[in-house]
Amino acid sequence: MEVDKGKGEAEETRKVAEADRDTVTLKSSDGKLFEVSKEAAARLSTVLAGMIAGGSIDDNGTDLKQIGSEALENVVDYCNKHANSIPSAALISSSISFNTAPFKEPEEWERKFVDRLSHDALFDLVEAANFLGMERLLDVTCHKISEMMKGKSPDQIREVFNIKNDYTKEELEEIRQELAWAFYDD
Amino acid sequence: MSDQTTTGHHQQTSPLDDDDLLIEILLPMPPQPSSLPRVSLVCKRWRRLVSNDPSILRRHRAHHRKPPLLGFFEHRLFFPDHSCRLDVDDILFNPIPEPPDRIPPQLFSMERFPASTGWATRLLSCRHGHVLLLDTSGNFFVCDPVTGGHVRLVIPPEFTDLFINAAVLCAAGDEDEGHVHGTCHWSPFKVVLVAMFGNDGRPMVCVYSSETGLWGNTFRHDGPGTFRDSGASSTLIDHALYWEIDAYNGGHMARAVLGFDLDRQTLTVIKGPPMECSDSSQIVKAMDGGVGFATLSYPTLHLRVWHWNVNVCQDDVATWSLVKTVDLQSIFGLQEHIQRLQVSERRDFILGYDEDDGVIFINIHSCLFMLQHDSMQFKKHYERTERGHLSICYPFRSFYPAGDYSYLIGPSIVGETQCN
Repeated sequence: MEVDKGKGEAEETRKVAEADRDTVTLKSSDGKLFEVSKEAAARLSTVLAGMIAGGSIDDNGTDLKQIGSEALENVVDYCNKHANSIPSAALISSSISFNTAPFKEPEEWERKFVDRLSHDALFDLVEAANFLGMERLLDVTCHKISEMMKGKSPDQIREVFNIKNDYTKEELEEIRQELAWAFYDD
Repeated sequence: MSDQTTTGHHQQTSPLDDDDLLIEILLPMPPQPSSLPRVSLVCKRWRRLVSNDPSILRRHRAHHRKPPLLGFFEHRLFFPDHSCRLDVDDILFNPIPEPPDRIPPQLFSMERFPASTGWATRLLSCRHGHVLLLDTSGNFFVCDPVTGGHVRLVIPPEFTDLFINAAVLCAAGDEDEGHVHGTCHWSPFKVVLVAMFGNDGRPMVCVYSSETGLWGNTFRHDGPGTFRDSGASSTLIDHALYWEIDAYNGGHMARAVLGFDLDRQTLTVIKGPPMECSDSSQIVKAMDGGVGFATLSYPTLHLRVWHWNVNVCQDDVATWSLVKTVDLQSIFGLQEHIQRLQVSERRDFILGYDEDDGVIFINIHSCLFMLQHDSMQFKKHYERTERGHLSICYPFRSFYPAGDYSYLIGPSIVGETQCN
């Protein structure tokens, strides 16, 4: 698969001749169309797999109203890159229960993939991955956000992620004293 | 809802506002002790998620699987008034990580256990979050420094007059689905007791299971030879425990390795690799997951790493391949420092081994180094001046659930067990 079908809009004029296409067309909330390998979509997304199996895929563009075009482009891009980079069975572990499956560190290409995203794009992609039931993409994006928190003080985390501090000074002081060793350097 | 500003044409929400997604984001936070306490100070909702929900703490550990190395326990020998009695204070926790992951030693103090001072005579083993001690009445004391859970075990009568050694370990194997070592607080454990039988110096082993509350059958080594326990700590490799022992043969002494396979319940003794009697040694995990052996020569400070060629073993005669010889003086950059010292001032020993990461604890003069024996990466832990005696380091790995962890204390590890 040399052609990166995830980039840009799919051609408006594209006609669907055969029923057994090897791609599916997805439509973002803002009406843009993206084409993705049916095999990769079914393998990486439980929601798309269910739609493909259930025949609820619309050849003219399956509506994904919850996902904006930027996030959907990233989803499709990830699926295509994944199909090109990874031997399929490696990251699929449906038989292992979610709570105990050991986490696999992101691959180099997955790191690069999330590193280039803006803060907002990363957050949108987390929600898109969650909506589409893409466990691996959810892991990789959450891992990236977690890395952004690593080594930061609570103040710095609030600042980076724009979170309101709802503790009183007294409450903060009480917890800090309880666990003084964990806040040694703040 | 979100504090994020709206951009583009769809409402921008933040995954941090969704509890389920926030949990997914917090799970990869490092397993180090300060990680979750620190994020819990971001806001009350975050604290509610990471402090009060045991299932999230369990998932956090399952995500990382390997508990962090928090430090090591050591038995500092101190003889007040030249008596042979040791104080309980002598068993100390020595934290390794830098702040903010440095657990204050007093949090893992042995003083919190109900026995009065003077009750612990030997520190024998430390593994999977449990510490195994021998008390003055000659019985075992197993404790969990994180939760404070503890149990006293009466030693089987046939071992009571012997010099014993022992290892503690979680009853769950590394591959047991759903179990993560470092969260073994409520899990069944085993104590493997080893001693050389008095009459003929043959090794024998007996296993206690906290699941049954009983000691099992005694297994005896039936091969030839007379052996003596070296008092060294055990190394767990795959499903077997290994101890260094001394083999006597016609007045000649050599180092040997005693292995006990926990699955097959078999005892083996194999001859150790060639070494001088002044060498210090340690059983290590070989790169291929087999049995390895490290020797530290004195005073040249050459560390040699040997691997046991298991396929060539016949009749308990092992062959060892020397896979590495390294000059620790140059690796640690100690040439000048060492040259200034008289040999008699030097104190160079292997003091412990972290079997999870393959890290050997090496004391050279007054410095404690931690050396990974495959990569040769090392860290100088500290330089000490105050002590006269070197003691064995028992690395302690555990997840540390800061805050309220009363729910971790299972009923299986508080109490007293009689010998059947």
